[in-house]
Amino acid sequence: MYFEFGQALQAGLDCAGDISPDQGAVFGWVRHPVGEALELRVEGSPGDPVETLLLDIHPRQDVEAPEGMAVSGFSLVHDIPRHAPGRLLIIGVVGTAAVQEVAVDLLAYDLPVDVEGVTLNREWGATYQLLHASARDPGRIKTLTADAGPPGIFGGWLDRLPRFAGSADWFMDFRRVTAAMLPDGELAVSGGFNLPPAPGQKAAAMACALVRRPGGGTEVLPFAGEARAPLEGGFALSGRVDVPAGTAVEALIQIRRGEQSWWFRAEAARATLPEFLNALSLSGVELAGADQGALHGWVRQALSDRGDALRDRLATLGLAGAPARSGSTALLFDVNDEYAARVLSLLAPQFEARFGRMVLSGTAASRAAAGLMRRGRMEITVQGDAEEALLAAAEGPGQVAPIDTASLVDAAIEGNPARLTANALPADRLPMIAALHGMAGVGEMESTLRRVVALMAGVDASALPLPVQRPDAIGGLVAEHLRGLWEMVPVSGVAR
Amino acid sequence: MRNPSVCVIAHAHPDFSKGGGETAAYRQFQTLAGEGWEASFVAAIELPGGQSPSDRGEAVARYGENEYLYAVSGMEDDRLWWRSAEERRGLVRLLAGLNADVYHFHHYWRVGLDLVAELAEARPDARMVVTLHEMLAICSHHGQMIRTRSRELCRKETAQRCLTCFPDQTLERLRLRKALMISGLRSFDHFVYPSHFIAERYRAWGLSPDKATVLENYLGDDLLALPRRRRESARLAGRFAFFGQPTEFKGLDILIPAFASALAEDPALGLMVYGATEEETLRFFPHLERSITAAGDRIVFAGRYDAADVVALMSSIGWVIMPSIWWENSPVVIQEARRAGTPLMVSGIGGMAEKVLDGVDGLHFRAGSVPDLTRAMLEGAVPENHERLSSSLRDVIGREEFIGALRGIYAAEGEPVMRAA
Repeated sequence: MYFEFGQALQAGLDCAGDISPDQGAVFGWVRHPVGEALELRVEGSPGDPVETLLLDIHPRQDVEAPEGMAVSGFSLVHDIPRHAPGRLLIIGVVGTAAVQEVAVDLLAYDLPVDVEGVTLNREWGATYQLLHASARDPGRIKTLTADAGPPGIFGGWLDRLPRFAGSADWFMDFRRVTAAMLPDGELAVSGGFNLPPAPGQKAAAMACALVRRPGGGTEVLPFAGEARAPLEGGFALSGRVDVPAGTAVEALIQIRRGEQSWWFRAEAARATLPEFLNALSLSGVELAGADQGALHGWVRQALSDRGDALRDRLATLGLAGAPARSGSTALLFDVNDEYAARVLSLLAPQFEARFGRMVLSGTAASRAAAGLMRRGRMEITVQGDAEEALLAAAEGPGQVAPIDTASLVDAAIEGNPARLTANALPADRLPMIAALHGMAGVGEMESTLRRVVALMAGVDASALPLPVQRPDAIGGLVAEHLRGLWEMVPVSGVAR
Repeated sequence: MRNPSVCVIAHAHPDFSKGGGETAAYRQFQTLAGEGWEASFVAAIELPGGQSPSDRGEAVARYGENEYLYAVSGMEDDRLWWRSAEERRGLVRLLAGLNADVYHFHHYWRVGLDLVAELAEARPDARMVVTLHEMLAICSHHGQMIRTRSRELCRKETAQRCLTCFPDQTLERLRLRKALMISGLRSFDHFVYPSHFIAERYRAWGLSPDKATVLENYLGDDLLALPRRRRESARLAGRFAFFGQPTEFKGLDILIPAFASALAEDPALGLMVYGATEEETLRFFPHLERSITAAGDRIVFAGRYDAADVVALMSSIGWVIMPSIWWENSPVVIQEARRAGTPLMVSGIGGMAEKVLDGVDGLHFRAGSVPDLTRAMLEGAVPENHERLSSSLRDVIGREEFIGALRGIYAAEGEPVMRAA
């Protein structure tokens, strides 16, 4: 509904309704002279203040702005005054010399009251900004909890957003888009523009996250530590969402570059750290020279911040191997070769004499397990991958000796089964390996476990391989980051 | 003291193939049985279409008195492991049920490392012995320890070197292969090697020399019973013979050009090639056509021969030449020639150099060297040289010595028994 308060002040109200019994929302725009500040608030009755919970001012390109005038869109969330019967919107314009205030009685007009319905059809940037702001303060602003819970008034609108899962070579006006998430909730979303260059126009990216917990609960959460790369030819942003492992997370993204804007949903794929770092550093996206420098600087800062943030946590991961006692669990997490299965079978008596239980994973694990199960002298568990095997091993009592194929081979060739029991960890310390993998993993869990086994055996960390990196300066930053992370981890054990 | 009961297990039965390993195994069985020992012989067989050796479809069939054949269709393609645990168990049940004091294996290929381990567990009271006739465990190149991309001899196994021979493999897989082989072989209580050469290769590879004996294969009572006549050097010194297949590493492509060169200097020389026809030889080595043509009727391709006739054939010539360009672990041909009393010319490497002492049993020449073999042939063709070497040529191991050594191997605990063969 359009309101005109003279040549220098007009307003349009899209809706004024309730989002909960105690909170209301007013959406609209105000046209005012360029350079003058806009003030908005709600009063119960003249002079009876109502607390403004959120006021978001955003551009409105769908409303004409004659020369000398500006249009400011707004989303205002406010308390509903309990005792005051009225509801006034106070529009104030603060100029250099005077303050002009006008009041609109929100109950006197037939304004739309269906906040969710209006949200569905509003300019997407306005909706996104309200969503982003709501995610940062969900306890106070009830837009996300209206209508039977999250995502509240945004449910219908979110359903309309384009989406991709994990990665896509082509998506909207982008190429090689990726959304990657680490087990500890670190997220990176990136991609390159599939558009002509726009010199001087840097992409501004924002994100929050739609979270579906394993039990079915849904939330919209902010990206903690949200950071974005100042790029023209692409976008990259990162942050953290504090959710338990196994939670499905979709990044809700807004990107603006010049006059253009994009909104989409990106379902984050569970990633290894190298994959995450690839996403963070726009691996595979060709950027122009200026962007390359900007990206390098951003990645360097992001990795530096990441290292600083993880330092204390990594330092507490005391992985001190000690000889396994009889009856411990042997964790063979990379049984991927038929020959490894055969070697295990041949060494079965040695394992049975030293361990009470064996947990296996790898493509040849089932084959190896079949022979061991037939013998029936040890509890055998087969898991689909090293991650699951680690979890299964941690469930048992006592100690767990992680044994990689290289150690198995060494023990077999040397005829020295003591190697198999050389370095075990208490079962309740194994979750630390999972945490370490999330923060500093060097690939799949198999690779991280191999590295832990090698370090416990006294292998010089600098001699151990890191994942192959891109050949440019950013690849060097990433390698240095990985190396630095592992230097923070106190790992010790019985030397080979 | 009673002799132990012995079950000899081999990868083949000589009724079906004539390899040196199965022949040695069977001769051992026959010799022990002939001595009155309680002995049995169990051999692998691969019949067409993977058929069972038994008409009732059983995987194991009796084959004569105390002899059995077992099918290997239940094994993996590499014949080092059993795909069918049931078939393996069936064979273990048979072997364990024979109640042998000693299980003496000749080879693990077509036997299965898993079977050996399972039998060792099933019969912890029995002694597990293996004769290692070849180096398959050490070298993926058919156990020959010769580089795949050249004909260069390999002197040492390392995973890194093996990777350069098998670039499609990975270091991890090659090390796993070694772990598999060495773990499997450690199921044995004792290793028998037919030569010091192969014993040393296995020692360097990682098998303990403390559980090893070097014992030459026994040629069998029949060959040992043949008279060993004095050579007629004046007539035979210039007559040479080759016994073997025209395969890549047997050196026929060295011998024939060397003979052609020697013939140019001494037209009275002659060469018999047993085991190959001219057509087969040229199929393998087309470039030999010129040498064969130059040799004319002084070279004769005699084709196949019966193993039973070999000593007689060797007795009819002056020299047996073994020009192999690979190591040869313990060639039966050398034993047969020594038994026949015919001196040898051999490449001076590996088992050949060990079994033929240069200047005692014959002459050495540089492996792969045509001029050096030419030199040796001309030297050997001198009757006085032939006479001298024929007279110092050693005979092969005798029955009593062989049985005595086996008795020691089957009884010994912890005592190294390294003997000269």
